[in-house]
Amino acid sequence: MNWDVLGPVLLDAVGQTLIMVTITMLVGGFLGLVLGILLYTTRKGGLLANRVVFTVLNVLVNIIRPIPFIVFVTALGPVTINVVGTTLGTVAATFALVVAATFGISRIVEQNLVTIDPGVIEAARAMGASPLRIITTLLVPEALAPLILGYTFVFVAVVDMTAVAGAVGGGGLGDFAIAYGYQRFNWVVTAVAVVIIIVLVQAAQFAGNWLARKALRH
Amino acid sequence: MTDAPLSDAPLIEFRDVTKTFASGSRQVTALDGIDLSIHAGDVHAIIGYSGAGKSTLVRLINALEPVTSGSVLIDGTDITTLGERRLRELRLGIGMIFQQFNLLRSRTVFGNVAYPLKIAGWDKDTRKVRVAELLRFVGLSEKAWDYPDQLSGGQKQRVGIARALATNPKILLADESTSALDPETTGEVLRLLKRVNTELGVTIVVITHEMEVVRAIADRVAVLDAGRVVEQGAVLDVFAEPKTDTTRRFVETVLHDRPDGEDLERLRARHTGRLVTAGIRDDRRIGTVLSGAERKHGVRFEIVYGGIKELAGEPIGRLTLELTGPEAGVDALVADLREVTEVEELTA
Repeated sequence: MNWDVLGPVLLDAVGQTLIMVTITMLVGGFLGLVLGILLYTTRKGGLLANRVVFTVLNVLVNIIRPIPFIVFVTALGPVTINVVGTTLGTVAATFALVVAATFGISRIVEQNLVTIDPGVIEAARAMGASPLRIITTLLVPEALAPLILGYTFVFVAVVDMTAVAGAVGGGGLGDFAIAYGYQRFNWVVTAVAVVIIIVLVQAAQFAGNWLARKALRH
Repeated sequence: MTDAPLSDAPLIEFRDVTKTFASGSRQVTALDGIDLSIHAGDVHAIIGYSGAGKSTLVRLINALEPVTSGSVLIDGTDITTLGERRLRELRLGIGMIFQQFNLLRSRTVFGNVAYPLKIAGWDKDTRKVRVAELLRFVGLSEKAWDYPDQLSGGQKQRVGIARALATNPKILLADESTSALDPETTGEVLRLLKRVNTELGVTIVVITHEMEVVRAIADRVAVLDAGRVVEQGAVLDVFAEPKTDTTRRFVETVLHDRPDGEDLERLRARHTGRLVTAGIRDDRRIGTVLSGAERKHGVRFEIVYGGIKELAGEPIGRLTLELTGPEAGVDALVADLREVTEVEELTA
């Protein structure tokens, strides 16, 4: 097999990876932000302190987050079939990625929000700010730099997860490396896939660091 | 101070307020049966050691903390019955500043001062005008586009004050607002707070553990000890005649007018005559009594210790005198002194 044939396949794989990563970061990123904010605000002494809601969410996150992604993708199968209609292909894989990322990101968001000085939140309350306003105009801006770094970290993890998704029929660079490289003893193909992934991750890390520095104004 | 009400109704009133916290399985009483009235136009200090409950007390005024029992009246309205929405409206009329300033690090000085105006729903143009006005008032027009990280402690607190005053509140709560500042900056911030009171007519509730702060700006003071108000009144009266040990200790920290411990021992070692301490106030003529002492009673005096400060424009303090002469003469002189001021014998 030569690169005339492999080239378009590789391009497809890169496209699939980018789609999976982008959708996961957008949808999972948003849902994870919401879930993380809920975890943070419903905890004891929080803006929306609610023991029941916090306990349920906390336990849920604790159950789902530690499951290895490759197991999670298969375990989520029945749900995926109900929602997407199939467990195969990029869309099915993306669904599983979004769910897993949401729970993973929620913890990272929560951990970064905890670092905000409670005094600042109290000051906003003293000014008559509603919880929703505090969440949107204070929590997120005040924790922006660490949040950007947290999301950058997640981005790398999601790229890793897309490769795993590839192994169970999701397509993308992981699938490409396994199917055309590993299984055919073609180390060059594997190496090319690795290099592309490295470039992708490096670019994301640089961009994340740059944005975080901007947010910190340093 | 233009619209100072003629009636005696207090602006802020605590009625038998109790506040308890759950600490593990135990109930801790932070405030215990507080009755306190704060009048419009006053700078009312609440002083106490850490843990006395003063920070909790101030947070009841803007309902950041709910009371456990009793009621808190603001302008005659019992705020303990209000819902969250009404409380948010109430808070728009009560500014608050903090020990650690609590500025938003992600916003500029301008952004910080504009923040409460956004909450109050001011439009962009009026916000701009108001922020400029406030920054002029606190002397930070130059720093509008700086971030809090770039400011000194005193400047941060001035931003805090500008922010707290943004929505023209009638009440300003100052929670240990100078405790993180050096003495010079403290003076600067206190003078600014005094201007807020006199020029803008804002009633200020000052929470502090420093009697010097009370001396510098307060009209009235309540002394809080273990969750109870143990003493309250006009600052001058409380300073002149502290009734409890807690208050006396606070007064001591400012006036340094009463020798005790090592000071007293040193005085005794050096002076063999009778040591008495006489209170000094504007209207007490101890000089007249003393200048006639030798002629009248054959008693000579020496000033050996003392401290006099100005408080609300009046001198206040004590002088310790060594009186030497015949026993009967000294007794008679002490009796004469007692007629013009309070006298304390520093007996061995």
